[in-house]
Amino acid sequence: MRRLWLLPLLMGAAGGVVFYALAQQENPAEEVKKQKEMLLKEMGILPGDVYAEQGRDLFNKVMGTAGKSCSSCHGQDGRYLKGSYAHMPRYYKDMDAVADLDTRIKYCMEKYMGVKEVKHDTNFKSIATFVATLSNGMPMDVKIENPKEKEMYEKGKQLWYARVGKMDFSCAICHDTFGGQRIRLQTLARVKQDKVATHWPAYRFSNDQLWTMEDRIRGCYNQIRVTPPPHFHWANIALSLYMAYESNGGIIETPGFVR
Amino acid sequence: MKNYLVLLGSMVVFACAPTQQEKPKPAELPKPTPQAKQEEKKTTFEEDIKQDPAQKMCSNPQGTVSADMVAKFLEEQKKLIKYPPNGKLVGDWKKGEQLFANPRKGNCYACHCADPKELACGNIGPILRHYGKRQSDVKYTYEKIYNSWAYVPCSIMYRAGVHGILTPEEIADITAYLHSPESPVNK
Repeated sequence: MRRLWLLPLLMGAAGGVVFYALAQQENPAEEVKKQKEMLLKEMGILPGDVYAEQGRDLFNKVMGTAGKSCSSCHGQDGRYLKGSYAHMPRYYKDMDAVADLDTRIKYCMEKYMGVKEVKHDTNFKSIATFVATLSNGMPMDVKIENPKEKEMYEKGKQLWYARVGKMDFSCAICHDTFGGQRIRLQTLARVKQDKVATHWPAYRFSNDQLWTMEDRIRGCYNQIRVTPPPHFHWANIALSLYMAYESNGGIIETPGFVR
Repeated sequence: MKNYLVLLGSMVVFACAPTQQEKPKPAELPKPTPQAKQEEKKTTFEEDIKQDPAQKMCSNPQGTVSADMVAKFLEEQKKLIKYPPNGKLVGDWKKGEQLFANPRKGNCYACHCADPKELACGNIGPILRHYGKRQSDVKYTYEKIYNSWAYVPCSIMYRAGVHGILTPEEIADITAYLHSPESPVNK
Protein backbone atom coordinates (compact mmCIF):
# COMPACT_ATOMS: atom_id res chain seq x y z
CA MET A 1 0.00 0.00 0.00
CA ARG A 2 2.97 2.25 0.53
CA ARG A 3 3.39 2.49 -3.21
CA LEU A 4 0.04 4.20 -3.56
CA TRP A 5 1.68 7.54 -4.14
CA LEU A 6 2.94 6.20 -7.45
CA LEU A 7 -0.58 6.08 -8.80
CA PRO A 8 -1.03 9.75 -9.69
CA LEU A 9 2.50 9.80 -11.10
CA LEU A 10 1.71 6.90 -13.41
CA MET A 11 -1.59 8.38 -14.39
CA GLY A 12 0.24 11.55 -15.32
CA ALA A 13 2.70 9.54 -17.38
CA ALA A 14 -0.12 7.73 -19.14
CA GLY A 15 -1.78 11.04 -19.87
CA GLY A 16 1.49 12.35 -21.24
CA VAL A 17 1.83 9.36 -23.53
CA VAL A 18 -1.72 9.75 -24.80
CA PHE A 19 -0.92 13.39 -25.47
CA TYR A 20 2.27 12.36 -27.26
CA ALA A 21 0.42 9.80 -29.35
CA LEU A 22 -2.13 12.44 -30.31
CA ALA A 23 0.68 14.80 -31.20
CA GLN A 24 1.93 12.29 -33.76
CA GLN A 25 -1.16 12.63 -35.90
CA GLU A 26 -0.67 13.78 -39.45
CA ASN A 27 -3.67 16.09 -39.73
CA PRO A 28 -3.13 19.10 -37.47
CA ALA A 29 -6.69 20.42 -37.76
CA GLU A 30 -7.93 17.05 -36.58
CA GLU A 31 -5.53 17.15 -33.67
CA VAL A 32 -6.77 20.56 -32.54
CA LYS A 33 -10.35 19.33 -32.75
CA LYS A 34 -9.58 16.23 -30.69
CA GLN A 35 -7.72 18.20 -28.03
CA LYS A 36 -10.62 20.60 -27.82
CA GLU A 37 -13.16 17.81 -27.44
CA MET A 38 -11.01 16.06 -24.86
CA LEU A 39 -10.64 19.18 -22.72
CA LEU A 40 -14.32 20.01 -23.03
CA LYS A 41 -15.22 16.49 -21.96
CA GLU A 42 -12.88 16.56 -18.98
CA MET A 43 -13.40 20.09 -17.76
CA GLY A 44 -16.63 21.24 -19.39
CA ILE A 45 -14.93 24.50 -20.36
CA LEU A 46 -11.85 25.40 -22.40
CA PRO A 47 -8.89 26.81 -20.46
CA GLY A 48 -8.88 29.93 -22.63
CA ASP A 49 -12.45 30.69 -21.58
CA VAL A 50 -11.47 30.24 -17.93
CA TYR A 51 -8.77 32.87 -18.40
CA ALA A 52 -11.24 35.17 -20.12
CA GLU A 53 -13.66 34.83 -17.18
CA GLN A 54 -10.81 35.54 -14.80
CA GLY A 55 -10.08 38.58 -16.94
CA ARG A 56 -13.67 39.74 -16.55
CA ASP A 57 -13.36 39.62 -12.75
CA LEU A 58 -10.09 41.55 -12.85
CA PHE A 59 -11.60 44.04 -15.28
CA ASN A 60 -14.26 44.90 -12.71
CA LYS A 61 -11.82 44.93 -9.80
CA VAL A 62 -10.35 48.10 -8.33
CA MET A 63 -6.58 48.20 -8.80
CA GLY A 64 -3.93 50.86 -8.27
CA THR A 65 -3.88 54.13 -6.36
CA ALA A 66 -6.66 55.96 -8.24
CA GLY A 67 -9.34 53.71 -6.77
CA LYS A 68 -10.59 52.74 -10.18
CA SER A 69 -11.21 49.55 -12.07
CA CYS A 70 -11.20 49.16 -15.84
CA SER A 71 -14.98 49.18 -15.64
CA SER A 72 -15.00 52.64 -14.03
CA CYS A 73 -14.40 54.09 -17.49
CA HIS A 74 -15.34 51.25 -19.83
CA GLY A 75 -18.57 50.17 -18.16
CA GLN A 76 -19.49 47.11 -16.17
CA ASP A 77 -18.07 44.05 -17.98
CA GLY A 78 -16.59 46.46 -20.53
CA ARG A 79 -19.83 47.24 -22.29
CA TYR A 80 -18.31 50.35 -23.92
CA LEU A 81 -15.44 48.32 -25.29
CA LYS A 82 -17.57 46.14 -27.55
CA GLY A 83 -15.94 45.98 -30.97
CA SER A 84 -12.85 47.91 -29.88
CA TYR A 85 -10.47 45.05 -30.55
CA ALA A 86 -11.65 44.88 -34.18
CA HIS A 87 -9.89 48.21 -34.78
CA MET A 88 -6.66 47.46 -32.91
CA PRO A 89 -3.80 48.24 -33.04
CA ARG A 90 -4.60 51.89 -33.67
CA TYR A 91 -3.54 55.44 -32.94
CA TYR A 92 -4.55 56.83 -29.52
CA LYS A 93 -4.76 60.58 -29.11
CA ASP A 94 -3.96 60.59 -25.38
CA MET A 95 -0.80 58.55 -26.02
CA ASP A 96 0.01 60.26 -29.32
CA ALA A 97 1.14 56.84 -30.44
CA VAL A 98 -0.04 53.63 -32.00
CA ALA A 99 -0.76 50.92 -29.44
CA ASP A 100 -1.65 47.25 -29.61
CA LEU A 101 -3.96 45.54 -27.13
CA ASP A 102 -1.21 44.90 -24.57
CA THR A 103 0.35 48.35 -24.74
CA ARG A 104 -3.03 50.10 -24.49
CA ILE A 105 -4.07 48.15 -21.41
CA LYS A 106 -0.73 48.86 -19.77
CA TYR A 107 -1.10 52.58 -20.50
CA CYS A 108 -4.64 52.65 -19.08
CA MET A 109 -3.61 50.83 -15.93
CA GLU A 110 -0.61 53.07 -15.30
CA LYS A 111 -1.99 56.45 -16.35
CA TYR A 112 -5.62 56.25 -15.27
CA MET A 113 -5.71 53.58 -12.58
CA GLY A 114 -2.37 54.31 -10.92
CA VAL A 115 -1.04 50.78 -11.11
CA LYS A 116 2.72 50.79 -10.71
CA GLU A 117 4.96 48.64 -12.90
CA VAL A 118 2.41 46.67 -14.85
CA LYS A 119 3.74 43.19 -15.52
CA HIS A 120 2.88 41.05 -18.54
CA ASP A 121 1.74 38.15 -16.36
CA THR A 122 -1.22 35.76 -16.49
CA ASN A 123 -3.55 38.27 -14.82
CA PHE A 124 -2.59 40.91 -17.34
CA LYS A 125 -3.05 38.49 -20.24
CA SER A 126 -6.42 37.44 -18.84
CA ILE A 127 -7.62 41.04 -18.94
CA ALA A 128 -6.32 41.39 -22.51
CA THR A 129 -8.13 38.20 -23.48
CA PHE A 130 -11.36 39.38 -21.90
CA VAL A 131 -11.17 42.70 -23.77
CA ALA A 132 -10.59 40.82 -27.04
CA THR A 133 -13.61 38.56 -26.44
CA LEU A 134 -15.81 41.68 -26.37
CA SER A 135 -15.31 41.85 -30.15
CA ASN A 136 -16.09 38.21 -30.85
CA GLY A 137 -18.21 37.63 -33.91
CA MET A 138 -17.24 40.96 -35.47
CA PRO A 139 -15.07 41.29 -38.56
CA MET A 140 -11.52 42.58 -38.13
CA ASP A 141 -11.56 46.16 -39.34
CA VAL A 142 -8.19 47.86 -38.86
CA LYS A 143 -7.78 51.18 -40.65
CA ILE A 144 -4.52 52.85 -41.50
CA GLU A 145 -5.31 56.56 -41.70
CA ASN A 146 -3.23 58.48 -39.19
CA PRO A 147 0.37 59.22 -40.30
CA LYS A 148 1.65 57.37 -37.23
CA GLU A 149 -0.42 54.34 -38.18
CA LYS A 150 1.03 54.47 -41.70
CA GLU A 151 4.54 54.72 -40.32
CA MET A 152 3.95 51.83 -37.93
CA TYR A 153 2.41 49.69 -40.66
CA GLU A 154 5.41 50.29 -42.92
CA LYS A 155 7.77 49.35 -40.08
CA GLY A 156 5.79 46.18 -39.53
CA LYS A 157 5.85 45.29 -43.20
CA GLN A 158 9.59 45.85 -43.29
CA LEU A 159 10.11 43.57 -40.29
CA TRP A 160 7.79 41.01 -41.84
CA TYR A 161 10.05 40.55 -44.87
CA ALA A 162 13.41 41.16 -43.16
CA ARG A 163 15.77 38.17 -43.24
CA VAL A 164 17.53 38.41 -39.90
CA GLY A 165 19.67 36.61 -37.39
CA LYS A 166 21.64 33.40 -37.43
CA MET A 167 18.81 31.48 -39.04
CA ASP A 168 18.37 33.96 -41.93
CA PHE A 169 14.62 33.84 -41.31
CA SER A 170 11.88 36.35 -41.85
CA CYS A 171 8.27 36.16 -40.73
CA ALA A 172 7.25 35.89 -44.38
CA ILE A 173 9.26 32.75 -45.03
CA CYS A 174 7.24 30.70 -42.57
CA HIS A 175 3.92 32.49 -42.68
CA ASP A 176 3.60 33.37 -46.39
CA THR A 177 5.90 31.19 -48.49
CA PHE A 178 5.70 27.99 -46.45
CA GLY A 179 2.50 28.72 -44.54
CA GLY A 180 0.38 25.63 -43.97
CA GLN A 181 3.42 23.35 -43.82
CA ARG A 182 5.11 22.08 -40.69
CA ILE A 183 8.20 22.88 -38.64
CA ARG A 184 8.57 19.69 -36.63
CA LEU A 185 4.93 19.06 -35.71
CA GLN A 186 3.96 22.71 -35.56
CA THR A 187 1.79 23.80 -38.47
CA LEU A 188 2.66 27.27 -39.65
CA ALA A 189 -0.21 29.71 -39.84
CA ARG A 190 -0.69 31.66 -43.05
CA VAL A 191 -1.16 35.28 -42.15
CA LYS A 192 -3.56 36.26 -44.94
CA GLN A 193 -5.57 33.11 -45.56
CA ASP A 194 -5.86 32.18 -41.90
CA LYS A 195 -6.56 35.79 -40.79
CA VAL A 196 -4.23 35.15 -37.90
CA ALA A 197 -5.01 38.22 -35.82
CA THR A 198 -8.61 37.08 -35.33
CA HIS A 199 -7.79 34.28 -32.91
CA TRP A 200 -5.27 35.91 -30.59
CA PRO A 201 -4.98 36.03 -27.58
CA ALA A 202 -5.07 32.27 -27.62
CA TYR A 203 -4.70 29.27 -25.36
CA ARG A 204 -1.88 27.00 -26.48
CA PHE A 205 -2.55 23.40 -25.49
CA SER A 206 1.00 22.30 -26.31
CA ASN A 207 2.44 24.29 -23.41
CA ASP A 208 -0.77 25.00 -21.47
CA GLN A 209 -0.34 28.76 -21.60
CA LEU A 210 -2.35 31.79 -22.51
CA TRP A 211 -0.52 33.91 -25.08
CA THR A 212 -1.26 37.32 -26.53
CA MET A 213 -0.04 38.28 -30.00
CA GLU A 214 3.01 39.89 -28.35
CA ASP A 215 3.91 36.55 -26.77
CA ARG A 216 3.48 34.86 -30.14
CA ILE A 217 5.78 37.35 -31.88
CA ARG A 218 8.37 37.06 -29.12
CA GLY A 219 8.15 33.28 -29.28
CA CYS A 220 8.77 33.35 -33.03
CA TYR A 221 11.84 35.57 -32.67
CA ASN A 222 13.13 33.33 -29.93
CA GLN A 223 12.81 30.31 -32.19
CA ILE A 224 14.79 31.94 -34.98
CA ARG A 225 17.52 32.79 -32.43
CA VAL A 226 16.92 36.51 -32.41
CA THR A 227 16.65 38.13 -28.97
CA PRO A 228 12.92 38.89 -28.75
CA PRO A 229 11.84 42.50 -28.43
CA PRO A 230 10.71 43.18 -24.84
CA HIS A 231 6.98 43.36 -24.18
CA PHE A 232 5.38 46.64 -25.32
CA HIS A 233 8.31 47.23 -27.72
CA TRP A 234 7.49 49.03 -30.99
CA ALA A 235 8.36 45.93 -33.00
CA ASN A 236 5.51 43.99 -31.35
CA ILE A 237 3.12 46.81 -32.15
CA ALA A 238 4.36 47.17 -35.73
CA LEU A 239 4.05 43.47 -36.51
CA SER A 240 0.69 43.23 -34.73
CA LEU A 241 -0.59 46.12 -36.83
CA TYR A 242 0.71 44.55 -40.04
CA MET A 243 -0.91 41.20 -39.25
CA ALA A 244 -4.17 42.73 -38.01
CA TYR A 245 -4.47 44.76 -41.21
CA GLU A 246 -3.79 41.67 -43.29
CA SER A 247 -6.50 39.89 -41.27
CA ASN A 248 -9.17 42.46 -42.10
CA GLY A 249 -12.52 40.88 -42.86
CA GLY A 250 -11.84 37.80 -40.74
CA ILE A 251 -14.33 37.14 -37.95
CA ILE A 252 -12.85 37.58 -34.48
CA GLU A 253 -13.02 34.49 -32.33
CA THR A 254 -11.01 34.76 -29.11
CA PRO A 255 -9.52 33.20 -27.10
CA GLY A 256 -8.12 31.06 -29.89
CA PHE A 257 -7.30 27.42 -29.33
CA VAL A 258 -3.97 26.57 -30.92
CA ARG A 259 -1.25 23.99 -30.70
CA MET B 1 -2.07 -4.78 -2.33
CA LYS B 2 -2.19 -7.34 -5.13
CA ASN B 3 -5.00 -5.47 -6.77
CA TYR B 4 -2.97 -2.34 -6.80
CA LEU B 5 -0.01 -4.15 -8.31
CA VAL B 6 -2.19 -5.52 -11.10
CA LEU B 7 -3.61 -2.07 -11.64
CA LEU B 8 -0.15 -0.54 -11.69
CA GLY B 9 1.10 -3.23 -14.03
CA SER B 10 -1.69 -2.71 -16.49
CA MET B 11 -1.09 1.00 -16.39
CA VAL B 12 2.57 0.52 -17.13
CA VAL B 13 1.64 -1.62 -20.14
CA PHE B 14 -0.84 0.99 -21.22
CA ALA B 15 1.70 3.72 -20.76
CA CYS B 16 4.28 1.92 -22.84
CA ALA B 17 2.06 0.72 -25.63
CA PRO B 18 2.02 3.77 -27.90
CA THR B 19 5.80 4.22 -27.66
CA GLN B 20 6.73 0.81 -29.05
CA GLN B 21 8.18 2.57 -32.03
CA GLU B 22 11.49 3.40 -30.50
CA LYS B 23 12.56 6.97 -30.65
CA PRO B 24 16.21 7.91 -30.90
CA LYS B 25 17.46 9.43 -27.68
CA PRO B 26 17.14 13.19 -27.77
CA ALA B 27 20.48 14.75 -28.50
CA GLU B 28 22.24 15.97 -25.40
CA LEU B 29 22.33 19.71 -25.28
CA PRO B 30 25.76 21.08 -24.62
CA LYS B 31 25.60 23.07 -21.40
CA PRO B 32 26.44 26.66 -22.18
CA THR B 33 29.37 27.92 -20.17
CA PRO B 34 28.58 30.83 -17.85
CA GLN B 35 30.56 33.07 -20.13
CA ALA B 36 28.64 31.99 -23.22
CA LYS B 37 25.41 32.60 -21.34
CA GLN B 38 26.45 36.11 -20.49
CA GLU B 39 27.35 36.79 -24.09
CA GLU B 40 23.97 35.55 -25.22
CA LYS B 41 22.26 37.94 -22.85
CA LYS B 42 24.19 40.92 -24.09
CA THR B 43 22.63 41.14 -27.53
CA THR B 44 19.44 43.11 -27.89
CA PHE B 45 16.65 42.84 -30.43
CA GLU B 46 17.98 45.90 -32.25
CA GLU B 47 21.44 44.37 -32.56
CA ASP B 48 20.08 41.02 -33.65
CA ILE B 49 17.96 42.41 -36.48
CA LYS B 50 20.91 44.18 -38.12
CA GLN B 51 21.31 42.59 -41.54
CA ASP B 52 24.32 41.68 -43.62
CA PRO B 53 24.24 42.85 -47.29
CA ALA B 54 22.96 39.47 -48.52
CA GLN B 55 20.14 39.38 -45.98
CA LYS B 56 19.16 42.88 -47.10
CA MET B 57 19.02 41.77 -50.73
CA CYS B 58 16.74 38.88 -49.78
CA SER B 59 14.31 40.96 -47.70
CA ASN B 60 11.51 41.47 -50.18
CA PRO B 61 8.07 39.98 -50.88
CA GLN B 62 9.49 38.04 -53.85
CA GLY B 63 11.92 36.33 -51.49
CA THR B 64 14.78 36.33 -53.96
CA VAL B 65 17.22 38.59 -55.80
CA SER B 66 16.64 40.02 -59.27
CA ALA B 67 17.65 37.78 -62.17
CA ASP B 68 20.65 39.91 -63.17
CA MET B 69 22.05 39.72 -59.64
CA VAL B 70 21.88 35.93 -59.22
CA ALA B 71 25.33 35.05 -60.62
CA LYS B 72 27.11 37.69 -58.54
CA PHE B 73 25.13 36.74 -55.42
CA LEU B 74 26.05 33.06 -55.71
CA GLU B 75 29.69 33.91 -56.33
CA GLU B 76 29.85 36.15 -53.24
CA GLN B 77 28.24 33.46 -51.10
CA LYS B 78 30.56 30.75 -52.40
CA LYS B 79 33.51 32.83 -51.18
CA LEU B 80 32.23 32.53 -47.61
CA ILE B 81 32.59 28.73 -47.51
CA LYS B 82 35.48 27.38 -45.42
CA TYR B 83 36.63 23.78 -45.28
CA PRO B 84 37.98 21.64 -42.42
CA PRO B 85 41.75 22.07 -41.93
CA ASN B 86 42.31 18.35 -42.54
CA GLY B 87 40.46 18.60 -45.85
CA LYS B 88 38.05 15.79 -44.94
CA LEU B 89 34.53 16.64 -46.07
CA VAL B 90 33.13 13.39 -44.68
CA GLY B 91 33.41 12.98 -40.92
CA ASP B 92 31.85 10.71 -38.31
CA TRP B 93 28.24 9.84 -39.15
CA LYS B 94 27.40 8.98 -35.53
CA LYS B 95 28.38 12.45 -34.40
CA GLY B 96 26.50 13.75 -37.40
CA GLU B 97 23.37 11.94 -36.25
CA GLN B 98 23.45 13.83 -32.94
CA LEU B 99 24.16 17.16 -34.61
CA PHE B 100 21.39 16.59 -37.14
CA ALA B 101 18.80 16.20 -34.37
CA ASN B 102 20.15 18.71 -31.84
CA PRO B 103 17.81 21.73 -31.82
CA ARG B 104 20.69 24.02 -30.85
CA LYS B 105 22.96 22.69 -33.56
CA GLY B 106 21.78 21.36 -36.92
CA ASN B 107 18.10 21.27 -35.97
CA CYS B 108 17.62 19.65 -39.38
CA TYR B 109 14.46 17.76 -38.35
CA ALA B 110 12.67 21.08 -38.08
CA CYS B 111 12.31 20.99 -41.87
CA HIS B 112 13.59 17.63 -43.13
CA CYS B 113 12.54 14.05 -42.49
CA ALA B 114 15.43 11.58 -42.72
CA ASP B 115 15.62 8.71 -40.22
CA PRO B 116 12.18 7.01 -40.37
CA LYS B 117 12.31 6.57 -36.58
CA GLU B 118 12.08 10.32 -36.10
CA LEU B 119 8.41 11.07 -36.52
CA ALA B 120 8.46 14.68 -35.42
CA CYS B 121 9.98 16.05 -38.58
CA GLY B 122 8.87 19.06 -40.58
CA ASN B 123 7.90 19.06 -44.24
CA ILE B 124 9.28 22.38 -45.45
CA GLY B 125 12.46 20.88 -46.87
CA PRO B 126 12.76 17.81 -49.10
CA ILE B 127 12.72 14.37 -47.45
CA LEU B 128 16.30 13.17 -47.02
CA ARG B 129 15.50 9.46 -46.70
CA HIS B 130 18.00 7.43 -48.79
CA TYR B 131 19.85 10.67 -49.58
CA GLY B 132 23.16 8.85 -50.01
CA LYS B 133 21.67 6.56 -52.64
CA ARG B 134 20.49 9.48 -54.73
CA GLN B 135 23.34 11.89 -54.29
CA SER B 136 27.02 11.02 -54.58
CA ASP B 137 28.50 14.52 -54.65
CA VAL B 138 29.91 14.92 -51.14
CA LYS B 139 31.32 18.38 -51.84
CA TYR B 140 27.90 19.63 -52.89
CA THR B 141 26.34 18.34 -49.65
CA TYR B 142 29.06 19.95 -47.54
CA GLU B 143 28.78 23.30 -49.29
CA LYS B 144 25.00 23.26 -49.27
CA ILE B 145 24.95 22.81 -45.49
CA TYR B 146 27.74 25.34 -44.98
CA ASN B 147 26.08 27.98 -47.12
CA SER B 148 22.84 27.11 -48.90
CA TRP B 149 22.78 30.58 -50.45
CA ALA B 150 25.78 29.62 -52.56
CA TYR B 151 23.38 27.39 -54.51
CA VAL B 152 19.94 28.98 -54.11
CA PRO B 153 19.82 32.73 -53.48
CA CYS B 154 17.80 33.53 -50.35
CA SER B 155 16.95 29.86 -49.71
CA ILE B 156 14.97 29.28 -46.53
CA MET B 157 17.72 26.91 -45.41
CA TYR B 158 19.88 28.84 -43.00
CA ARG B 159 23.59 29.25 -43.60
CA ALA B 160 24.83 27.05 -40.78
CA GLY B 161 28.53 27.47 -41.52
CA VAL B 162 28.44 31.17 -42.33
CA HIS B 163 26.77 31.97 -39.01
CA GLY B 164 29.04 29.62 -37.09
CA ILE B 165 26.19 27.47 -35.78
CA LEU B 166 28.11 24.49 -37.11
CA THR B 167 31.90 24.27 -37.44
CA PRO B 168 33.45 22.86 -40.64
CA GLU B 169 34.13 19.58 -38.79
CA GLU B 170 30.55 19.35 -37.61
CA ILE B 171 29.28 19.94 -41.14
CA ALA B 172 31.56 17.12 -42.31
CA ASP B 173 29.94 14.89 -39.65
CA ILE B 174 26.45 15.70 -40.90
CA THR B 175 27.63 15.13 -44.48
CA ALA B 176 28.77 11.67 -43.35
CA TYR B 177 25.40 11.04 -41.70
CA LEU B 178 23.67 11.79 -45.00
CA HIS B 179 26.04 9.80 -47.22
CA SER B 180 27.25 6.84 -45.15
CA PRO B 181 25.67 3.48 -46.12
CA GLU B 182 25.66 2.58 -42.38
CA SER B 183 23.68 5.66 -41.44
CA PRO B 184 19.97 5.12 -40.63
CA VAL B 185 19.22 7.66 -43.34
CA ASN B 186 20.31 5.17 -45.99
CA LYS B 187 19.35 1.89 -44.30
